[in-house]
Amino acid sequence: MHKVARKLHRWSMLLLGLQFIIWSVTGAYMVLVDINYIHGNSLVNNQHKPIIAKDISYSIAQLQQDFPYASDISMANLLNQPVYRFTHQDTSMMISAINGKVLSPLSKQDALELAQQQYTGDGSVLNALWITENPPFELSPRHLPVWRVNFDDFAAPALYISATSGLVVTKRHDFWRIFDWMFRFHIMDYSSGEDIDNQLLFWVALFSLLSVSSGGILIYYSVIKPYTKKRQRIINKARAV
Amino acid sequence: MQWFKKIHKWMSVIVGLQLIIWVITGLFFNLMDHQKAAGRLHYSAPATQQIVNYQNLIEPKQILHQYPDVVELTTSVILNQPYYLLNVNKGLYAHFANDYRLVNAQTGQIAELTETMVNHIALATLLLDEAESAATIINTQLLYPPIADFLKQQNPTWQVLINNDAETRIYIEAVSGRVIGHSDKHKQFADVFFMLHFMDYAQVGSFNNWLMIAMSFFVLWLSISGFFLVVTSLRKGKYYSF
Repeated sequence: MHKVARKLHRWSMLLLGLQFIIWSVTGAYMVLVDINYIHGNSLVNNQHKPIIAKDISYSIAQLQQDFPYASDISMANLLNQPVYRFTHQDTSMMISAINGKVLSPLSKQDALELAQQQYTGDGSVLNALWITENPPFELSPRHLPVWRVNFDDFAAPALYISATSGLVVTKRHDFWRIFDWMFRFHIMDYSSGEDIDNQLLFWVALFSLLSVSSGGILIYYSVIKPYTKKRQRIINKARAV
Repeated sequence: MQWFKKIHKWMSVIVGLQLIIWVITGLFFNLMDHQKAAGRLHYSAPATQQIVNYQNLIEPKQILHQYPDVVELTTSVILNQPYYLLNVNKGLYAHFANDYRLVNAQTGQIAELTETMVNHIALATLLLDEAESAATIINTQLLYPPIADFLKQQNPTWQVLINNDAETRIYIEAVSGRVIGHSDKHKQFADVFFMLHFMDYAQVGSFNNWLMIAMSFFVLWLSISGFFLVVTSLRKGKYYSF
């Protein structure tokens, strides 16, 4: 039993050992860095100014006449003016609640101003990129179109401002990007991403269970058994006396 | 004994059991039905918002005159009745703490979801197959965070218990009427595996806990010392014969 377990453990770990190192390194990174930080919550101040009611001169009734299929209508303050956000025939839109002027898609200048307003770091803006298709891996395609505002700061932060709502829809820095890679390596998804039910992981994990269990048997022989034997010897000695 | 042999032995004593738990729970995540694990077995997404006639409703401007601190006003339709949902303190995410007021868009009065309304909202999210057509509500109660089934949710939430095989529990946010999601015995079962994998024995819904960090440190040493053991075994020719 002892010898079989040792051989099994030694041979299986020759094949699986690298993945165990990957699991422990990636796992340690993921638990060590606070998930709220990873999500980039500290990159934005989430400050919103109250809506000034007296500024509103374009009514919701008027909006409905101009956009008869408008649904999911909301209102907020954006760059010191009240705005309506809504969906019209599957298109997200934003218009001024002062005069009904269409504000979407957002201009580069407005996107920059919004990003700077929300950003908590000291770094200055590096550039702003207009993205309508093929988003980078760190951005979900459902947020398109967006302005990606890059900051010249620690860990290369980027704020993604929706061109249709003016809201910060995604915030990223290098610690998130590393986390994403770590997670892929952790779930052995070496192809697409976010695919935890892959065959490779199944076979490696199943084989690993055998390997770790054989290690468990070795603990019994090298730690638990010697301890109980020693204990028994002491008890026997005491009895003999 | 070489240093890494000693480290390997004692680290395995400390983390051995948890390591087996990690592998078993990891295997479970690989095999589990993700829809079931997310409590979506009987979940049907809420329908898209119906178009409301705003011509005869109270204007947002008028509502906002009464509530000057509102940062976001959202139109909402709950059981065919139009409302304005006011947010005075908008959290970074919907599940973070938000300070909502619900206002009836016809009367301008503050509205509060009643138990009957909550039940209606909840039943509308239940996938109606034959088995579910007779679904009845066992109990409806208002819960305050932390909510065991949705540990991330930080706002007061109604829980609606359904009398079905899956023991479905539907969660509706108290003021906004937002559907938070479903939970049932399948999700609860999967959640035990998540708790074990993340060593979240305090059940706070996070893997950034000290026990986990300590164990990850030990297992890191276990795998690194194991790597050295494999290398020396190779050098000593232990892999040339069985």
